[in-house]
Amino acid sequence: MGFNIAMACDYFYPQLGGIEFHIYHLAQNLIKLGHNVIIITHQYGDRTGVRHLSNGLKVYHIPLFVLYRETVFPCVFYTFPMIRNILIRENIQIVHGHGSASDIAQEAILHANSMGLRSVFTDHSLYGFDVLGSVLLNKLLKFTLASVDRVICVSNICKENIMYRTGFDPSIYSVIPNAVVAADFTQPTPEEQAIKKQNGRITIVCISRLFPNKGCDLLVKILPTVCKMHDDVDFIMVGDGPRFIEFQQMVEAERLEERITLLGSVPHEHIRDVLCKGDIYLHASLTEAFGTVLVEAASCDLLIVTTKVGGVPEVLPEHMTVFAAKTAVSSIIEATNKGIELIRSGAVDTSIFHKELVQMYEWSDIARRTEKVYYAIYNSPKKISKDWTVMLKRLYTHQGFWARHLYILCAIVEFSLILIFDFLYPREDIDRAPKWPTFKEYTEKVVEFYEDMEHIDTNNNDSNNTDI
Amino acid sequence: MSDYIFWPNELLRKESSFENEELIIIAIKLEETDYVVIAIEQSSILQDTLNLEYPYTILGNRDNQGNWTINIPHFTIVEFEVPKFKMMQFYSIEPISLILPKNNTVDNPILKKIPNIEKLISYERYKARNYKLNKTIDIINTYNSTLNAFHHSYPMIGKSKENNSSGIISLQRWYTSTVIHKLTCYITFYITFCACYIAYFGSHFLRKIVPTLLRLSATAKQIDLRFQQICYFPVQYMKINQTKPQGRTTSEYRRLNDESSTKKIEPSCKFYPDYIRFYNTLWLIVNDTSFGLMLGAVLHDNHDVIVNTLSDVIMTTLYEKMIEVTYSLANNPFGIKLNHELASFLSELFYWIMEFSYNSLIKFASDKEKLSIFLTFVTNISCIFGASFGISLIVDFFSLLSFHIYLFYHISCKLYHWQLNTLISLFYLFCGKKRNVLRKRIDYDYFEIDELLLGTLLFIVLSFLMPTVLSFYASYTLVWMTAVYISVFLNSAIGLINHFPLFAFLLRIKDPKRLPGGILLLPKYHKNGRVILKLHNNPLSVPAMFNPFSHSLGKIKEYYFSTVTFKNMLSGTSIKVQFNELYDILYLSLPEEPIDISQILSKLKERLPR
Amino acid sequence: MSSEEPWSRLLWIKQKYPDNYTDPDFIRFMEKMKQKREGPPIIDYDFDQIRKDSLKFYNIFLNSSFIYIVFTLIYYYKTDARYLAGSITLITMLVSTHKNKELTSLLNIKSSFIIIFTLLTLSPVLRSLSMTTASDSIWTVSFWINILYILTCATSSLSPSPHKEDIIKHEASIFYDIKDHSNNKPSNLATNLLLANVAMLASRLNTTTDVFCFLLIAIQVNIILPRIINISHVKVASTSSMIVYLFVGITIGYRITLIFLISSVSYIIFMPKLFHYWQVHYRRRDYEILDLWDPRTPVVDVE
Repeated sequence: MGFNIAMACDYFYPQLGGIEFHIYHLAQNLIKLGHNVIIITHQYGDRTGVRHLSNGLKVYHIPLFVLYRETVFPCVFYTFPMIRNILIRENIQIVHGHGSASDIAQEAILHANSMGLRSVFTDHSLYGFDVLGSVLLNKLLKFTLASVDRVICVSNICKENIMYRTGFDPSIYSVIPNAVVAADFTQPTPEEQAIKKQNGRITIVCISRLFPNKGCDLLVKILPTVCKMHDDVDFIMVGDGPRFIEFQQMVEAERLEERITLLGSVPHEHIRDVLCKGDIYLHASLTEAFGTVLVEAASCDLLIVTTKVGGVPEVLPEHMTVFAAKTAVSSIIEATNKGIELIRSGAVDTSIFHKELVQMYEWSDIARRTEKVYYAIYNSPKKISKDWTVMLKRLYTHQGFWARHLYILCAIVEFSLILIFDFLYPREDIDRAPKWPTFKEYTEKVVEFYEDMEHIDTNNNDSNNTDI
Repeated sequence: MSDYIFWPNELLRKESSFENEELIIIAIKLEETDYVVIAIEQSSILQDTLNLEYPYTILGNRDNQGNWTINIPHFTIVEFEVPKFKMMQFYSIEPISLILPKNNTVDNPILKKIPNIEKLISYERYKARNYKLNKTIDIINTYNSTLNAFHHSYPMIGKSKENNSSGIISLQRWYTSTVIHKLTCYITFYITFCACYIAYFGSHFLRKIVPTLLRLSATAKQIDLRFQQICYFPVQYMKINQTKPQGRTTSEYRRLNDESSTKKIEPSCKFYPDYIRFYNTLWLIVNDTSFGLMLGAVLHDNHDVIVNTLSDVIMTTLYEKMIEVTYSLANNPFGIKLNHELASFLSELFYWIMEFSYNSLIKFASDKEKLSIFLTFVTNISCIFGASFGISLIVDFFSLLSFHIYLFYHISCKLYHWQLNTLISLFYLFCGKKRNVLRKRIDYDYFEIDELLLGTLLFIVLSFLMPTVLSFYASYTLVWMTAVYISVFLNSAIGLINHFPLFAFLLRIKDPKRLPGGILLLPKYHKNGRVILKLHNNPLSVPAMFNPFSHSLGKIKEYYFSTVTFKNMLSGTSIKVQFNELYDILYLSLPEEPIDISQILSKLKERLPR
Repeated sequence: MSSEEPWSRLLWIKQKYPDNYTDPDFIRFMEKMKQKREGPPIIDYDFDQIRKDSLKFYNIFLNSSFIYIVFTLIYYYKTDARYLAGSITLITMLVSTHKNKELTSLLNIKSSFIIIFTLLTLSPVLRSLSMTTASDSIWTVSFWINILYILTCATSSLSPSPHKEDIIKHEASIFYDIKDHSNNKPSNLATNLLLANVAMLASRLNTTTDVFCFLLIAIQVNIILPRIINISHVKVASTSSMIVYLFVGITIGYRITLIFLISSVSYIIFMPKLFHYWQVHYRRRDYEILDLWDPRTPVVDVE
């Protein structure tokens, strides 16, 4: 019998991105392992209420006010009645929040802890200590994650970052990387390879949202310089953002329309086709927790040229990558030249990358490792106590005077709210949702169904509509 | 998949009359239709005759205990009332269209856009079902003719209906053979001939020679509309007369098959809306004239009062008030300190236009004697030709008088628009950006000190002048929009008079079956564990009848009362009275191009009694 | 754990260590950091940089106050604007002949002519522009625009972040180097704000000549001269301070000048110290930590 797991995150379908895909694939693979998974997120446009995705993955879209870039306004207690209702309704045992910047994730973990449920948190990004925003975020994390059972990080650097930020017992932090769906990022087909080889030119692909922290200031200088140095090198830029116009202006000013293709934003399902047109993938990001796009590019048999920031050095084997020593234009150009040389001379065989990567990163493995973390919560000798007094004590150990008292105050409000809700909307009055059959149960049902079907008119048997 | 058996109510009554007798059911089924029961006979009768040929089949029988046996495995019975085709009753799956089919702009555009509905409609099963039902409905509509044809082929089965030709028909026959009838026909024809030619050339003159007048003047538009209607009458008349269900011989139905049946049915259903449109137009013209008489009477009775009030109103609102507004704008309105030089320059300009239009127009318009003559003219016109003409004269008079307001609005609008655009461009420069016209985006750029100096100084100057221009623009826009709303209101009144679906409305009250808006299948009762359905006519709903009119009201709303209008006002885009848009509704019941009148008349001539 | 296979910091190989294995080095690092936090503060902040930045801010403030001095002279004291303009132009000429190359590169003949003619054309329009507007509202708007100007100037010219490497140190000479354009070019927005402010004030003046002269002076003092000479240089800064204090002393009175002087001296001396103290004791930025996780600074070293 599997666990009843609720994944909570602000970012989910219909928005598409790294975290969204992570949650979706993890949930699907956990379902295959026999767990029940639901997802809690906020509303997207008119997409409110309960939706079902493939294999009975149930998504709760909570109606909330969206503040900025699909993140909701942080209001600690507003979501409480809804989240409590969902957790009780679905008989949830483990709440799994994703992303530090996601408000719903943090609130869900907080409420789950107060309700005595187990909680896991996955962090997907690195946070510095330089900006006011991340300082505040760290304070918030210390409060909401005070009684979290396990923390999962996508890379070692990310783990050390959150360890430093939160400072709990080191044994609760695990590292489980992202994975790629190998079927979505296959090697170039022979026809595609033929097109690539045809004109004897080298194509460099860059995929990046054009924000300053993704290194567009560097890219905008690198592209024309590399074009001037090599006559047989072309670029394909994918991604949109506030700096897009700078790239357009650069292309026009340097008259590189023939050499540099600016594609703007490309839907995720077409990324593979773009990658397969290139030989080298160039990544100039200034910070990176994991860099899924690097794995995706390598999976399409591209040589990776990248800056050595964050978790990037951990992700790929050395024979697939060329590292730039510094986040400087000259350094990256040097690395790019080296990559071009490697491709030209044929010193590196990129056609084996895909097979190697398929074994390194696969979702079923990730799901199994995540499942292990869930089991560890229950089997661990030193369980995190969900007793209210213990939790209060834990909060009281915080160093800052003001923060400590604010935490205590919030916690007391939270606990009294639980009492009020238990009185107003008793647990017994909440309907329990029937569980979607697990894969095994399902196959049994299907056999039964087909036996029945022989007597039933088959006319109105329409296939199930699914969103993904 | 189960079959449907359509069962007329008449035969149910007949069936109940044969108690304790063995009966057989005879039905007709073409290749692409369902079963339609056409006869119930004593089984003894049939045994004497030959076997039935296609398309007729024996569907089942009843033993003397009253138990039915149907020969097909899965079926559903649908009962229906036979439509009286002579009374112009019929069933239709699609709602009957009251406007010409090519002017289908009135169709709900939102419905078309929903991709799911499109998918559903293009779904094969849905299409097939719809097609089959359409064919079956055609047979039901011509049920009596089908029955006649059947009796003709098998005279021994059942008895043909008595020929109920009464005294009236014989009287009619006698009348058509007299000379008086011929004379009447010829006189009517030549009157029509003259009227049509006048109308045709009038319309031609308006359209080809003075199209500008047609665009600007409501009266010209109204005259053109009436001419067009007159031109179209013979066409409509011929279409209706062609398909009158009189001269139909039963022999045509001898070889009843798929093709011939649909061929016969289609025109009758197709031109039926023409019948409605024809009479609707006639009724509306009569109605218009009676309204016109009423309006004329009111105008005549209150002649002096109206003349006095109108003269005062024109003088105060169109001249004195405008002067007052302009004066106050030039002298710090509401304590807002405007740029004195610019404000006085603009007000000088407007005073000058004001004086000009006063001397050339308003002085005469507010003159009581001349106003009295004009009012008498309107009264007479509206008595003779109808209220719509009277009102359109008033509209034209009003738009002529408010011309100077339009000028004010237009000048201030252009000024404002120009200034706003310049300010926006200079603001980009202020922020160190510029608009790339070719690529339609905002580029970053670095400007030199002289460019910046010129730009910023102009920016400062224009921003200081902005409130002045804005206040002029705002006041005149307010005045102009009031004028626009008045004329839009009057125009909609004309539209209503010209296009009210009066005939259809009365028809709907008299006999809803003559205005089908679709069909309705309702469960009637259970019989032996089977649901019996009943076919109902779903009459055209009242909102659907007003569809063209509400559509054009929606258009008006979009033009004058929407946020888009407001945005246009803010950005200084000129707003005009869209006469053409308003009049589109009037032409919805007419063909786009004027009909070639001589051809129609020659055809009409052929049908004259010799 | 097998001793032959030490734990490696890689995600792509399957290791025998559990997922929640933590690098012992990092735990030691955490301990070290904790001790460091509890221990005495480490002073590794660049105090000079802080002082330089605050001085720069002060200089921008001084420079913008010249607008008001000239305006007061013309508007209130009815000084003949022509002499003022003449003398300022002379100074600019002198300075620019000293560094002739810069002037030609900054302002060629064409653009100087455009500037002069623009000023001549628009001066009469400007003069009558705000006739009906109350003086008080003009002062208020001018005040706010000036504050905006100082802020934009400060944010665009202050060095980005003290701990970042590769900061190009300014030469300690009065005049800028010809090649060093990127550093003394103010942003377009700042220049525009300044010009807007000047134009607003100019619209209050009585005669067209005054308007023209005032605009000319302001452009020279606040736009052209700061491009040629380094206003942060000690000599320049002290000269402009002298002028400002002298003027304030003469016009408003010595008491207010004294208050003004004390506040600015305390700003120059104590503000950097206070800021420094705050950074060391409260902000406690640890560069060792910052380098680990913060986004790297992009270094654009290729033109």
